[in-house]
Amino acid sequence: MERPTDEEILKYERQIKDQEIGNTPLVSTEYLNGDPIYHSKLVHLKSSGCKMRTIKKDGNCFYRAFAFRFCELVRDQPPDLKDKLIQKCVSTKDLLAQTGYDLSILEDFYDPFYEALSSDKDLLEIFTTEYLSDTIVCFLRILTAALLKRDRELYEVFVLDSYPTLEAFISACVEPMYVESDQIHIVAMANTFNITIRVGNLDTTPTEKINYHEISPMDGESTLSLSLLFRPGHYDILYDDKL
Amino acid sequence: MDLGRDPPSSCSAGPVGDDLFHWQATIMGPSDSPYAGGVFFLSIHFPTDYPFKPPKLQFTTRIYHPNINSNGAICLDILKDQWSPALTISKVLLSLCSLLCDPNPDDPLVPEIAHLFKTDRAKYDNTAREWTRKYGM
Repeated sequence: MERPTDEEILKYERQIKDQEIGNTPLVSTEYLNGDPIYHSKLVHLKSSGCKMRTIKKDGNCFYRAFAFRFCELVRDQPPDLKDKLIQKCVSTKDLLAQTGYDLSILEDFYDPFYEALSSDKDLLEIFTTEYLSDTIVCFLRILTAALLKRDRELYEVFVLDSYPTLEAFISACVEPMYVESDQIHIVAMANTFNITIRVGNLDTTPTEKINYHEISPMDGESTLSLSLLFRPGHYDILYDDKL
Repeated sequence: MDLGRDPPSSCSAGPVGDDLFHWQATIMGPSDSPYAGGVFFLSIHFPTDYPFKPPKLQFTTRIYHPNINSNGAICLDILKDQWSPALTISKVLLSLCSLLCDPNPDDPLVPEIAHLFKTDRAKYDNTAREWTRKYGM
């Protein structure tokens, strides 16, 4: 029998994943028959007036969720703060240049993110247009890689257990699309944009409320805070200002 | 696309005819490898969802290498699960040059060549040189 080509294997793998992704139920129904602790935590979230926005489960969920909520928040800020945050975004070009990325190529990835942050175009439309949405995810992945490289001494220790070099980790877990994010990716985004990322954990610890894990920027004051809902293997956006 | 901006001296690439999704590339056999002196042709196909999916590269010149089979298919991580949309064709071609210098016998596409590479390097080098003379010059 002939061995399938790499392309056929990759295509098949994506097909299986796409079937999974195509059928994305809401959290509440998904966990209704699961562990009763999940159920009671979700009921509590709902009764506190929290809302959530579900994100496609394709391995890019952290970046897509983060990017959407970040843009949404930046647009809502008073002009001074909004300008400051947009400037922060502009300054990421320096970070890329410092770490050896070719800006003439990355400009194409930067532009949709800048537009999502600073224009009046419908955010939902931008983020549901696959090409734009993926380009923004890709840009944030490259930014993460650049930050890890620049502040190597800070991040390297966390990956050298499992990877021979920081570069090997970046090539396997940061730069490729569809690869799930971990704590280190979240820390990098919090530090890049000086914002706090609160991750509500939907886990089986026997408490009524979900536990938050708060990741604040290491330097300087946090300018914004956004929340994500995490359950093993997936992030969604959590609107929890009433909690 | 990107290649014209910073062309590496050891490789080149450009569209074939009017179809911008189909390119041809050449790689010069690296001097410190048994492929030295050879010129290797590749075809590049860009999928419609490029750059989110990797380009498809295939050697059209026959080459004796543990990670390249007789159809010209290439086993290289950045063309599969480690593809990043920020990679460029020039970076991919440079990675292929490195692959020619340093084969990866632990993830082979042609197990027999990988075995020979590991057990009888001189014989592998000879065969690779012979194929280079025969097909790549």
